[in-house]
Amino acid sequence: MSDLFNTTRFFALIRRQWVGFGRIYLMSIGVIAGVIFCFYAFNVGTNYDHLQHDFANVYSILNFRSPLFCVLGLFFVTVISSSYFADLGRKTKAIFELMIPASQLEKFLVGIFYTVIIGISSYLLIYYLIDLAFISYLRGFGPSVRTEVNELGEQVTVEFWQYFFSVDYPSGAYYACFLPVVLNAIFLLGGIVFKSYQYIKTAISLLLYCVVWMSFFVYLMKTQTENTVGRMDDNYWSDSNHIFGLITMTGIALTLIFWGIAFLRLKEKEI
Amino acid sequence: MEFNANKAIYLQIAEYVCDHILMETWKTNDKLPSVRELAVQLEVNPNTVMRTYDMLQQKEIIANKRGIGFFLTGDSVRNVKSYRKTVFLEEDLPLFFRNIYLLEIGLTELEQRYRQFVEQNFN
Amino acid sequence: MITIQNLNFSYSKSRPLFLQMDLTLKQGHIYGLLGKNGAGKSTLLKNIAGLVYPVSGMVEVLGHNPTRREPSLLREISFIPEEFYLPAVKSEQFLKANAGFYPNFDREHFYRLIKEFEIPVEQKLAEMSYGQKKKYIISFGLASNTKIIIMDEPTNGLDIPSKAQFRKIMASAITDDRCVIISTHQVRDLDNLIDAVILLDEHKVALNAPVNLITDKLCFKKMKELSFDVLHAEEALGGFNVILPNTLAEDSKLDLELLFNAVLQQKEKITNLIKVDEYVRPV
Repeated sequence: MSDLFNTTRFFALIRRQWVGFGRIYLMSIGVIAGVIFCFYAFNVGTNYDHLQHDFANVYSILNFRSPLFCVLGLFFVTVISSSYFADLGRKTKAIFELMIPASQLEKFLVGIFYTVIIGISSYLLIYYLIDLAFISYLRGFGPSVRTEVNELGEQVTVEFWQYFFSVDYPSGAYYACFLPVVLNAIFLLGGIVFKSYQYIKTAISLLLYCVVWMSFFVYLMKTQTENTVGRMDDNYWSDSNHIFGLITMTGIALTLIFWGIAFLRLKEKEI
Repeated sequence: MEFNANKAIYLQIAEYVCDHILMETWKTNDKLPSVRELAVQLEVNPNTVMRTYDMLQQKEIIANKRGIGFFLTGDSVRNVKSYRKTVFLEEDLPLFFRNIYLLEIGLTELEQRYRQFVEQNFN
Repeated sequence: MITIQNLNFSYSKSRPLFLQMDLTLKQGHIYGLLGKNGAGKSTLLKNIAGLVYPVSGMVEVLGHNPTRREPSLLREISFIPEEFYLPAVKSEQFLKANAGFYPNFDREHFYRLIKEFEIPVEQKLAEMSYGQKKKYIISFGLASNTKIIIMDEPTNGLDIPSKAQFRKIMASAITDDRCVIISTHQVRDLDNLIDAVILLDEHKVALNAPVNLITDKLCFKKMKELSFDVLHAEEALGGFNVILPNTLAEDSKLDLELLFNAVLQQKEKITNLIKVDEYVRPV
């Protein structure tokens, strides 16, 4: 058997980690589902009268969906990421974790498996299901499409009460997909490096770090652009998608770097 | 089993085995408990029991049948007695002599008491 | 089986714990690891298990460097720490999750140990008493059939019957290809169980010798009056407990406490008599 990676051991480890991590995971996902449900229920409940009488014109009550989806999703990912390796901060638990005969790579990859693959996909699924349930319920109040005539005099059908996952997003939104993953990497690392209050400490470090960099960039931009005039050329960087692309690439690079550091710190964790 | 504080453990285990042989709870041609069994029973290191068995084997009190274990031989009882006798003469008798000397107990008194004792206990 | 050479270790730069430490452990023995509080017993065990990184020097366990934490080594080590954690699951679930990592895990043997230790298996592990938990992980560790068993203060928290059970179980646990290391303060618990003594003092291994070598060289006895050749004496009821050079080839019983104190007070005198080097250096 290889000392680096072995599939049997990997799956055995996935099963083993469920015993400890499953509880935290299920609790978190339960709370998250509850919060999503409450938001939907509250917004639908308070507008119940409008829905009855003015059904077609109150779909703005669903405007909370995007921010809720983003904020809650990032919160969920960071929470489970920082708690996955939190046991290593407690001596009594850490010895047992480190002595389990699986390679450090396997231990790390199982961490990624639970926090990234299971974490993110189950969040999407939960959100999707709750949205599906509520929207289906709302659609029951009346017709969800209406026909309008556009400027060219053509008839178009407009669908309101759209499912969250069938909404057309602005193209820039897709560039932000790296965000949960980079946060996962950072909070995994925080969970390994800090011995207690991992979440708070990681969040504060991250915040300070961002503030420092932002100030730096603001300062840099200020000194570079002071007394200059902006010119809109048709160059590469004038396309905002290219800038988003650059940010995404940086994000992916950061993710890989943080994962790398987290793996090394896990490998050399001392008790 | 209670071990006493001063005597080497392997010798105390030897005493224990010899007692069983003399009291005939273990008889000729019986198989002795294995090293491990006796170690577990007495809560001691198996290596210590092994040392005991080695010594008893040297004194021909027990014999090792390869691959089967340790057994009592026809000579076991006789050899135990001669072993015990040596121990008694070397260790216990000097102490005894010391006491009768210090307490000024004469040999005639001793002989008389000895006869009395044998009569009371072994007749 | 375990070789340590020139090990330097410290938790902080100003306070070294081990300096140029050498130690060799062989299979087929139960080693008793003794030392004062803070002498580094637990830390030595962690160095062997690869849970901490030495500053310099070599630690080799079954031919591996333990800090690499390779599965092929980890599956040959059972580490039973003094403080430990068991999850809130039942025994069966715990076994299902963990036993598979130890290729030689023997379930039958595990059940026998659990029975002998009288551990109830119906409740969740986290809800057991401290002593029961301890017996549970000892059983798990022994049933894993690893070549190396490391125990840090295993009898702490065990009641009197459990200690006797523990001794019985350990007596049956030692085999020719196994090496057991037990650190302890409670020498009386393990008196007859260990067959080699490791004594830590002043950043080094002060003594590493099999019990029969110690009793070959030293004689432990009770005396009414001190004689001239006494190496170490402690007052006791009606006389002294003493250590003498064993010039008459007497067979005495090792008194661990007495030896421990003697070595701490006059290391040279004692260790020179027990030619440790013959034993420590691999031949």
